[in-house]
Formats: sequence, structure tokens, C-alpha cells
Amino acid sequence: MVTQETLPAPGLMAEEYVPDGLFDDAPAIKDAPVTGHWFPIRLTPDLATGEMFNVGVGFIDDTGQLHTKLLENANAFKCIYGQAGQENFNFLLTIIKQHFSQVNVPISPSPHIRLGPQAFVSGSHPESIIKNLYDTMVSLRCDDESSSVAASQIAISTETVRKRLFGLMKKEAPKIYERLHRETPVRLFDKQQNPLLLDLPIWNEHPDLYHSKGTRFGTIVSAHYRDKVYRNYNLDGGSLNILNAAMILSEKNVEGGLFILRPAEGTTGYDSQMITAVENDIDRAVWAVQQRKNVKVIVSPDVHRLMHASLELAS
Amino acid sequence: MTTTGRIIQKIASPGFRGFIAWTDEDDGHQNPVFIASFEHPVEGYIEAYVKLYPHQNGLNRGLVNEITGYLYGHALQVPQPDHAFLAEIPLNRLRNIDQHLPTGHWLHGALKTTNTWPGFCSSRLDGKSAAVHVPDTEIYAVREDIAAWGDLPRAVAMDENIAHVDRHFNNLIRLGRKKYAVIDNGRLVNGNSERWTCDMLDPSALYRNRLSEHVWAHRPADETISAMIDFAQRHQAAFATIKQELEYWLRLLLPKEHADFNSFLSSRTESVEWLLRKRYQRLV
Repeated sequence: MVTQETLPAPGLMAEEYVPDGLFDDAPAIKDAPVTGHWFPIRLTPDLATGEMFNVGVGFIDDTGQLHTKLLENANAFKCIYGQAGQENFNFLLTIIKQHFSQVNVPISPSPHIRLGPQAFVSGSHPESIIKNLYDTMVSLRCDDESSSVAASQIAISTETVRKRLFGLMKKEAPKIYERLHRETPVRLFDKQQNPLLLDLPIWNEHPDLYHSKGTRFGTIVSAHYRDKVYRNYNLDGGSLNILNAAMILSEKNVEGGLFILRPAEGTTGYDSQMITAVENDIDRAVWAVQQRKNVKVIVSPDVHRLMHASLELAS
Repeated sequence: MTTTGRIIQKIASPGFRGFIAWTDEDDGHQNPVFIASFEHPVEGYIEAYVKLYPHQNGLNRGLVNEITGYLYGHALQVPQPDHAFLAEIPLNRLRNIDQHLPTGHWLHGALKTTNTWPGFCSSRLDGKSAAVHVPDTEIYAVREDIAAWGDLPRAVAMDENIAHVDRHFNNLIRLGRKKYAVIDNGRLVNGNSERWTCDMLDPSALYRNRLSEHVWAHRPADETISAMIDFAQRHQAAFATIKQELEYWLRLLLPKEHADFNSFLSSRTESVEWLLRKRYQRLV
């Protein structure tokens, strides 16, 4: 039974000191050559509400030189304030950039721009200091490059997922890749000796290769489609191939896997309603597979995770 | 074990790169928390949450509790921050520390005797990822979402093993729908503070398990109990992967009690399946 603490209350007769030698064996790191103080640069669009957005950062190095980095544009404000608001804030950002480049003091020329409290920072040079702080402090970046990258992630085909997964496997575990990866369909025979051609890109039937001495089989499919028809076509196809294989391979120590790529929360093009629809379709498609004791179902937005799970089949 | 081979690295004060923000807006800043940037020996530039614990004649176990919790989390693959490290914090680099801390705060006393203080640091999960700290509330929607978290049984089994007695909801980070990570292992054994003594270490005790309590009222579904028992059977093998490093830290931070705490942890690791069976009355 745990007893009550009987020590003096914290703060009484307590000495505060650092134990000797705690960092004696810490790896040697040099002091950063550039030091100074940084501050956030904040925009208050509406002086009545006082709402603030980080639009940039400033850094005063120890020589007194002021460095600043501000948002490239005010595109992010268009949604909230419309076209006119975007244009006004673009104008304001331009003026502020010019002001700081001409005036080497951290004083704002506008009641809409406020400078936050200063704090210590150091680094290898002012540009890297400013870049790291800007990346941390400023979220309102909205440019064409990031939206086109996001668009390319909306649908990821089963073929693409398999290419990525097996590419990773070949790099990380080439011997297992050679053992497990199959490019052509597998021909199995059901109880009536009817042939079935099954899409099982993970396959090995050599009984001595695995600890538990049984066939290994599996498939990888993508649920990363906004279109329900494509999504269910891939999910149902994968599940059916696995179920057929599991039913035919009746020996004791077989092990199978169904590996499904799903969209991550927050992926562009997948709002919460779409995510729920994807999850429901996955649940429906895998239910029968999950009843099989010798088959595992792994669902993840991360191809690396799926790859490592498929490597476990080779143990 | 070489320093760079450790899971938990050390960063001496030259590796402190900058102060970013205070984040401890509650509880009188008893354990000051802030975000700072560092030069990590393996990862390079890194931003992390930093927590400062008082020493209290060696009786405050905050640092050793955090290190224990993080190492176990790593071994048991419970989702948690990617990196944890011990950093030597230059106190004069912390913004407005005099104004931030109330009068009589222990750190004011420390400032009189030393320029630096060890901080337990864990890399950020929030920020641009838009992960959020879970609100400390019993609202049903929160409980329901956590209950559906796939790694919940794993986290509960870990907390049972290490006697984590303080895993309330705001010691979770929400990464996404039904997806969480654990943070803050400052309180093991004693739910009232970071201070425990050897007479509180009972390998067979059922310490408070708040995740189990708040999510399931200690009545999880049968298949969940089976899943936890299944995880528990792997704890010993997982412990073997961190044993050497854990012993290193315990000897360093608990010069007098490392053997007792080590024995406590390894006994509980061996018997965690039994502890779970006892808690959930699944004795057959």
C-alpha cells in the first residue's frame, strides 16, 4: 500500500542547486557566432477588435543592425476581408518593408503594425535566424507553390502507392523485397479446382523461409480517392483478393496482410465529411477480412508505416 | 554507451539558440515551461518545449520521471514527441524571467546561485502541424474521440507499468481525429507532486491510472483488455532495449535511490500483465 509523503513541504529547507557534472559529457557544440534579439511583427487589421496576426519577424543583431522578413503578400487575408482588404494589406506590407529597409530602428510607422516583445536568439548568420523564426511564427503564407503541391496529393492511386512502398522496401530491406515482391498475379485453385488469378503483390510460398513456416501473402491498395467509385473499387478489389487467398490457403501457419493507404486528417481536398466517408468505406470493405485470424489489416496515411508493417510479414 | 548513441541527448548551454515563448499560463508557473530553439547534436536546428523542475535537495524527481516516461514511451512505441533531451538552459536568456515568475518562486532562488539550469526538453508536435493540446474537460466528445484512439490500450498499459498517475486529458496532444500523442511524464508514483520516496515504491500496487479512469471508468471492453494484455506481454522485451540507458540516467540523477527505483520499474515491467489482470479483474 502506498504511504503518504512525510517530507517537509516544498520550499522549506529546500536548496536549489544543479548536481555537479550533469553536462560534462554533453557533445561539444560551439557558441553561435551571431547573437541578438528578435521580435514578432504583428498586423492588427481592425483597431477596434485588437485581433492580431503574425505577419513577420525582426532581428536586431549585436552590432545593432536590424533585419526583417515579412509576408510576401496579403493573399491569406482575402478570405476574411475580401479583395479590397487584400489590396489594402498588400499596400501596408509593402510600405512596412520599405520603412524597415530605410530605418534601422524597430519602431512601427503604423498603428496597424505592432512589434512584440524582444527575446534572445542566436545562430550561424542573420538570414538563417530570420528564416527559422519566420517559419515558426508566421502561418499566413498563401502562395501558388503550396497549393499546387496540395492539389497533387488529392488522389493517390493504388499503383502509385505500390511503387512508393516497394521502392522503400527495396532500399531498406532488399533481401526481403526480393523474397516478398511479386509482379504477376498468383494462380491458386479453389476446392473445385477452379483456377483463380489473384492480385497479390506480396507473395511467398516457400515453407522454410519463415519462422512459422507458412505462406506469406498480401496486397496494398489506396483509399486515397475523393471519388467514391474509385475508392470502393480499389478497397473491394483488395479485400476480395485477400479473402480468396485466405480461404484457399488452408494450411496452419499462413500469414497475410491487407495494407491500405488513407488520406491524413487535414489533407487538402478532404474535409471532415470526406474523411468520415473514407473511414466508413474502409471499415465496410475490411470487415470480413478482419474476421480472419491469420490476416492483419493495416490502415495508415504514411507509406513508410505500411512498408514496415509489410516487412513484419517476413519475420 | 556513447553520448550520441543515447535516445535522450544532452545539450550544453552553447547549444541553446533562442527563446521563443512562455507557455505556462496556469498553476502559478510552479514548473516554468517555455518553447526554445536548440542546436541538437543529431537533428540540428530543433524547437522544443522546455520544462524546469526545482531540485529540492534532490527530492524533486521531475527530471528522472520525465526521462523514465520518455524512454518507456520510445520502447513501447507509444506516440510521443520525436525527440527528448536534457538541455543546460542559460537563465539570463529567458525573456522577462523576473516579471514572469511570481515573488518567492524557487527559480528566483536558483538565479542567485547559478547561471544555468537543466531543462527537460521535448520536440514540438504542435505548431505548423496544427496539432492541439487537448482541453482539460470531461466533455463527452473529447472522451469519445480519445476512446477511439487506436493506441489508447498501449498508452494505458504503459502508464500502468511506470505508475504514471497524472495522465489527465491535457497531457495528450491531439494530432488528428482519434489520433493522439502523450506528453508530460513529470508525475510518477505520487499524484500530488513530482516528489516520491522509496517507501512509496510498491511494485504490486495499483496506482492511479487516469486514462483508464477518465475514458473507461476502469471498465474497458473485453477486446480492449485483451489488447492491453497482449501489449503487456511485450513489455519485458521492450524494456531490454532501454535498460542500459535508463540505468545510466537513474545513476546520474538518483545517486542514492537508483537501485530502488530500477528494481521498482523492472518488477513492474515483469508483472504488468498481472497488474492489468488485477485492475480489470481478468484473472483467468
